[in-house]
Amino acid sequence: MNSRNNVGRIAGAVLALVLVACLMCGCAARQKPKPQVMLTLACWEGPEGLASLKTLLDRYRQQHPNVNVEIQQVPGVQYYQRLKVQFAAGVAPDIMQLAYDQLPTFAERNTLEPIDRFIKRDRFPVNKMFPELLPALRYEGSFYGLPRGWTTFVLYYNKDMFRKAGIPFPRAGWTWDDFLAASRKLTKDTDGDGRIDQFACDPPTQTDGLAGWIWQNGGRMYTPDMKHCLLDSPEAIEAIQFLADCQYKYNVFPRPEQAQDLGGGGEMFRSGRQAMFIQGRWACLTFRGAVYPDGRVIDWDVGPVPMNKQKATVLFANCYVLRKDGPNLEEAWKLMRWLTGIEGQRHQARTGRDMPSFVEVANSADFLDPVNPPEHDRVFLDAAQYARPLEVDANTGANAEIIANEIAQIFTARKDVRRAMRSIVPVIDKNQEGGK
Amino acid sequence: MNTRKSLRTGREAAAAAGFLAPSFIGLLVFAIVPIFGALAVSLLDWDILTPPKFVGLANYVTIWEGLTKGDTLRQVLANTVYFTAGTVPLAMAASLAIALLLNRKIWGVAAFRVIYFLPSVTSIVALSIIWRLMYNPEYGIINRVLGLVIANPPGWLADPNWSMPAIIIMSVWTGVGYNAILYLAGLQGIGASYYEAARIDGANAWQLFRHVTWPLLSPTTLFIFTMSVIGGFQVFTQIYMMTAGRPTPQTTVYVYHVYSQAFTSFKLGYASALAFVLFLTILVVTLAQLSVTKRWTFYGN
Amino acid sequence: MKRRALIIDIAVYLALGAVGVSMLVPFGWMLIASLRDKTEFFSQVGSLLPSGPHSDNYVQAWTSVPFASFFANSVLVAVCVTLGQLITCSFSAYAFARLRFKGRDALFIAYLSTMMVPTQVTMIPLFVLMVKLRWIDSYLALIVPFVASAYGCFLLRQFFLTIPQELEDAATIDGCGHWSIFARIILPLSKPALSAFGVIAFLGSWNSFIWPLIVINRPSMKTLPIGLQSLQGYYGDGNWAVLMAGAVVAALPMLIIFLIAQKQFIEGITLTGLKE
Repeated sequence: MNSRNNVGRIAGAVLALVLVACLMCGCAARQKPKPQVMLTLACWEGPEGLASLKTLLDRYRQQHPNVNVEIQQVPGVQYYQRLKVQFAAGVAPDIMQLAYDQLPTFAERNTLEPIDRFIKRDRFPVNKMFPELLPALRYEGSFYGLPRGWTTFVLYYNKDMFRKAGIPFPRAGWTWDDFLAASRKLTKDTDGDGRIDQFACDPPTQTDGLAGWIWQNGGRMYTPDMKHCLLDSPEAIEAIQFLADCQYKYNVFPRPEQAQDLGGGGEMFRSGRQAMFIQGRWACLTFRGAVYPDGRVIDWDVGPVPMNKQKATVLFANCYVLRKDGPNLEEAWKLMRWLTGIEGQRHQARTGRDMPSFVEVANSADFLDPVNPPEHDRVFLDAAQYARPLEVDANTGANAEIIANEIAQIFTARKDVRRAMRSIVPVIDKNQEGGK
Repeated sequence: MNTRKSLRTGREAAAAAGFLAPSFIGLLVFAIVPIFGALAVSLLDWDILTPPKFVGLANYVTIWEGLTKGDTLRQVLANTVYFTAGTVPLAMAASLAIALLLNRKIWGVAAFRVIYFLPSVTSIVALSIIWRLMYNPEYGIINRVLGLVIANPPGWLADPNWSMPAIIIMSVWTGVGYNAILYLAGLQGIGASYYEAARIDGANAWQLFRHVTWPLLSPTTLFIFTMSVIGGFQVFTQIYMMTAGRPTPQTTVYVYHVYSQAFTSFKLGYASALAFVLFLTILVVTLAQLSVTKRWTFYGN
Repeated sequence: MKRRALIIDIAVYLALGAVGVSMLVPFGWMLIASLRDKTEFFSQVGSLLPSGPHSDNYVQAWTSVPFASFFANSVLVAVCVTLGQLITCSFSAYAFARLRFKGRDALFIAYLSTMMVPTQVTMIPLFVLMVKLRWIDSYLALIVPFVASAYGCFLLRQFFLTIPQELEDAATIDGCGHWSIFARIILPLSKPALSAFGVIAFLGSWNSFIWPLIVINRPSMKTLPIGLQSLQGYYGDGNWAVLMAGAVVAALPMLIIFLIAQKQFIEGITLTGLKE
């Protein structure tokens, strides 16, 4: 008897509590304008890029106070592996940066949300973007990404060092021979201690740095149908051998013991130890305000990359993509739309992080900045006439790893170029056979 | 009588089940089942993003071919053996020497012990960072000091021939204090009576060491030896932090290879097979140690 | 005779001192480097002392990656794992040491045999399990697999076996059940073994590297060791000063704890002989 009464009392108390809780929730829901949304955004930005991105996101927050964005910054080397694990475990970020050469890999595995319907619904002005860009954003006909920005690869050069060596600045029509001659004059021991501390340039470490040289020599990385790798073709080997000679024969590129822990070519250029550096627009962000160890500001500019048998350079784009069937798809799309829209692109152009994807922004003072270096922003746009996107398919990610490892062997362990390329071509061909 | 006993044993069994349940479930799910899981995965070709493919013993065949014909796996194994053969004797000799020195009744032993132990309690990640800086061929402190004495100091981590020695030196440095403490405990466990008896017989310091200390230390020595060898085969963190298998394959050790195959190249089946081979190797080493223990150690007879 | 002993003592001191200096130099260098300006690292004219203590390196290290999260995560995980292991292992050790049941010894050997398997074997299937359970990037993946420890069971059983039976016999006569014997007699007497093992378990969890590296991708969920590694990746050799500051900050807590609790540490190591 007693226990039944107790049960009744307890049940009644619980019911009452539940009712009160519901009422409170109802009131709270009516008071709050919109529910708080938490988005995760993955990127590989370094210190300057991250600061720039945070500024942009703060501005978005001001307009959308209910949206919180957690930035997942992952170093470049591990970036794509981490994403893959997160996808496998269902914890992938809502919105991610992806280099366009990785887009097919992820799109093919059904991990990205196709955005055609969003673009159509919100009338995102893709027709106002540079047409060269559009193929990079699509996979099998559907749009998957929109650009954070894009770039062509150009030659950054240190004007102080060129002046001191008495070499004319790189201009259109510069050849490999001009490049080599200049490099030999630019590599020297500046403080007389018997050790070379100024280098001309640095060897490529990845596909995007390598492809340009191969194309300039008339070669290709793959056959047009992507079935065979052409890294062992005479043109490709000749191009890579030229770079290897720069390092070991002419000593104009630093060897590992000379540049250990100095952070690679970009860091060397930024600290005033290297005269030239081939990269995309994003280096402008890190190089603006760069100083020599003694504090003087580095005077630098950009010019076209040298040519050999052909004029060619790399076209590169970094995109934002959305996680497929993500829990916050609509909010994530809105953020992506803003970051890749006119306002976001103006910010990217002004900070020097990217070439803006919209033609009108690229032709405005946001990009053609008369005040900040580089002086010749036009070089980026002019290079678009002969820039090519990388030869890309769903296996590019896996192949990039193989190629990068082998390049490291060539430039750090003196592996013979022919042997190196001959050892990886069969492996890559096998990948290409199996995949799309 | 029978019922009471069986009631008691029944209750004890029930109590045992209660006491054992947490660890049993934990070990079953996270230690025992994964062993079979690893075997199962090693029979697959799997990249975690797409459905797995059964390939039978193909991964093991690849390992066999890699060891007998190819060069990557052979290099990896050679690196691992090189590392182990380099660190174990050096670390043991150094830590024994230090323990012998510390065993003397001098003032300040406690302070020395603390200092020697510092590297062992410091994150090896942090230690890898500072050693990487010290090893810099042009500007690091090691070569700046060496450069005063030698004409061409080695390139350390940048030089394929010196990268593994560099890591060996750093690893020995990190582990020496720890092993010294173990040796010290072993030394202090040797009864003074042995030394007295030997001194009465007129033994000098070296003879004391050879005939009293060393034999009575043999259990400790063998323990440290086995642990060090097994540890040597499993080294990972300092490789990952200092060289990450680059710029040359000279420092890619076995566990780093397993990691990169599994989590960089996403070849989980192959990596699992590699891990299983490691398991068998360690098993063999441990069994060898057990049989040697029976023959060599000296428990005070 | 006395002079000879004195010379030997001096030689011993010199030797020990030299080794001690070699132990301390990298720590000192780490500290000095962390106070430099980032341009001072790779110039030949670098002097021994930094130009002026650039303590903003520490601020930068702390803010460029979520250091506070790294610490919090490491503490949470290590505490949970230690408590978990202490509880599960002491329970099991009691069962193995004091209770009689069929198959007890066989089960104990089964427990021990799990110690023979290197972690690299189980890490891949455990990773797959974490992916399937969707525990990736969560505390569950960092804590739950390590709550049971065969090693702890072995160790504590050894210790429990050394406790004289008479105390328990007296308690049984008084009518105490197993739980009270365990909680009121065995545990209080085992404090030295428990604290030694606890220290080892804590240290092992705190320094754990490869497992968090595998299961944690999200920066805010990283533990200290892999968080420090991500600092290295973030600056990519562009700012060694900040990296050194990060290393100092990461190494400091364990150093301080060690200096305070030396006795437990050393006891723990000698008792268990195991590092992680």
